[in-house]
Amino acid sequence: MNQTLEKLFILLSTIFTVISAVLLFLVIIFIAKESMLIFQEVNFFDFICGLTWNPLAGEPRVGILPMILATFYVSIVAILISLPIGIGCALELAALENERLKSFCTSILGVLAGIPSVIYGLIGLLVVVKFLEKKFMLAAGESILSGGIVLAVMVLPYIVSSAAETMEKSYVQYKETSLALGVSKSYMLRALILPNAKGAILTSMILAFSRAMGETMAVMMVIGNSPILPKLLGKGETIPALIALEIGTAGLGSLHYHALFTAGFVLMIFLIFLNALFYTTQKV
Amino acid sequence: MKDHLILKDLSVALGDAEILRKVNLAISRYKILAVIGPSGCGKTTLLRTINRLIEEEKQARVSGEILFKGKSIHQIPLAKLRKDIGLVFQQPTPFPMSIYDNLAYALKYHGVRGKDNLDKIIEAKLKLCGLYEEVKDHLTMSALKLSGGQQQRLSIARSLCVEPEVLLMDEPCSSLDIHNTKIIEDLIVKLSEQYTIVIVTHNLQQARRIADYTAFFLEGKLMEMNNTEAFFANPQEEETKQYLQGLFG
Repeated sequence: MNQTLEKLFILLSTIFTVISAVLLFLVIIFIAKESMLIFQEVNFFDFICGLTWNPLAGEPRVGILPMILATFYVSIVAILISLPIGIGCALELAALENERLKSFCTSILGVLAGIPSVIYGLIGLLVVVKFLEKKFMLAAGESILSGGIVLAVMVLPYIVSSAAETMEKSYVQYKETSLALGVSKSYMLRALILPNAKGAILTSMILAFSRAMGETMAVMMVIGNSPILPKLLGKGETIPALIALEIGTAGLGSLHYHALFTAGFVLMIFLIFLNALFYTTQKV
Repeated sequence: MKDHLILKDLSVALGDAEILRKVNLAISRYKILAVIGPSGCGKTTLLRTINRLIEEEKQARVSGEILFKGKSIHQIPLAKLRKDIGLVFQQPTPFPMSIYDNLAYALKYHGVRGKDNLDKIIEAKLKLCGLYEEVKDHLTMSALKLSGGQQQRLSIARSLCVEPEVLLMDEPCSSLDIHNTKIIEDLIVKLSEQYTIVIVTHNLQQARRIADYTAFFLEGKLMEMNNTEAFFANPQEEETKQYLQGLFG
């Protein structure tokens, strides 16, 4: 009896594992199939490097370079802002010896990660966009910079939690040895813990970057959504925002429809590449 | 001044547990004191109290006095105290960085500047610990790649880099084989020409081989201390005799 149960259990878990693996492949295949159709009408190079997005014009143009650039641009801005804050925060957390304070801070980060992105978008509109309008005398504060700032807050928990884990481990491991040399804790954090966490920081950066690239709602709400070449204080439109905004109105099977799928496919390829990078850095 | 370190009525408790009870002890300059006793008798705590590492633990309560060169250790700035009284741990603990950086780590903090100065000190300490010939061509190699014995000698060299006067050693050979133990023991004897050494050991033979004085601790109390020869030849206390005979441990 027990043995049959055992076998059944193994069989079930194998089936479920296969299902989730197959699901991933089906998603890739489905998106790829829907998107390859477009290359019958537009060549690959024109699609990736084209500067004009106007799929509904008499002579439709579907170039997504502005969206690709905007996607990278907001993500890079977000990482540039959140990385120093995140590393500082992770160092502080790793060296925090008050356990209650530490678990309090950790739970705050958890809550930060759990806030729905539409809420971040609202706060972004209310605070960041308004601030930029006043500060830089802009007609509209919706911009790559506001997208980057909102995203920076959203990816912060990811950077902190994965970096802090490594830092805390080495802090515990080397604390006494380091103290016994008469060295202060802040020197230890600077000269030992931080350099030793290089790999973890890189990993957390990649993780946060891929989160940022895929984020749709919050970015869409504060970025202005114009399919033009992005400038820091100008409007832009990311790939996820483009798809979310236009897929509802694109005619089934039209050029527009397939172009959006292809844009999604391009985004997915970037993310798969980033994930592969994530796994290789983790192994080192 | 003959006595380098003096412990007066030193008691240490961690929470409700009394670890050391009214220990009085004088440690002479340039001598090796071996501290022996069964597990849990407070040997390691003794070392950690001398360089105030014990105070990192919130529950620790220390009473009594420790005089370093006639001055209470609480009157000496913590960084200076720990620089002057080095501690070598039971497990070799190389930092995850190059051999050179391991040795330069504390030196830079304590204000040694310039590559020439660093090089000079590092080379001298590696030579002193008999590690120089083995690693001189691999100074940029990760210290984690060294063997256990080499790692422990590196840990000792690292403690010596900041020019301590006293070196506390907590069972430095317990994770090493016979060959490496012999190397470290010879090193300790050599170091005692320039440093005062307190070594905690489980190994009675080791105490006998290298120590000038031996102190026996039991349940947090100093039972007996004498020069090593007399200590082993003619123990005074009944407990010491039993311990030396291996009746408990």
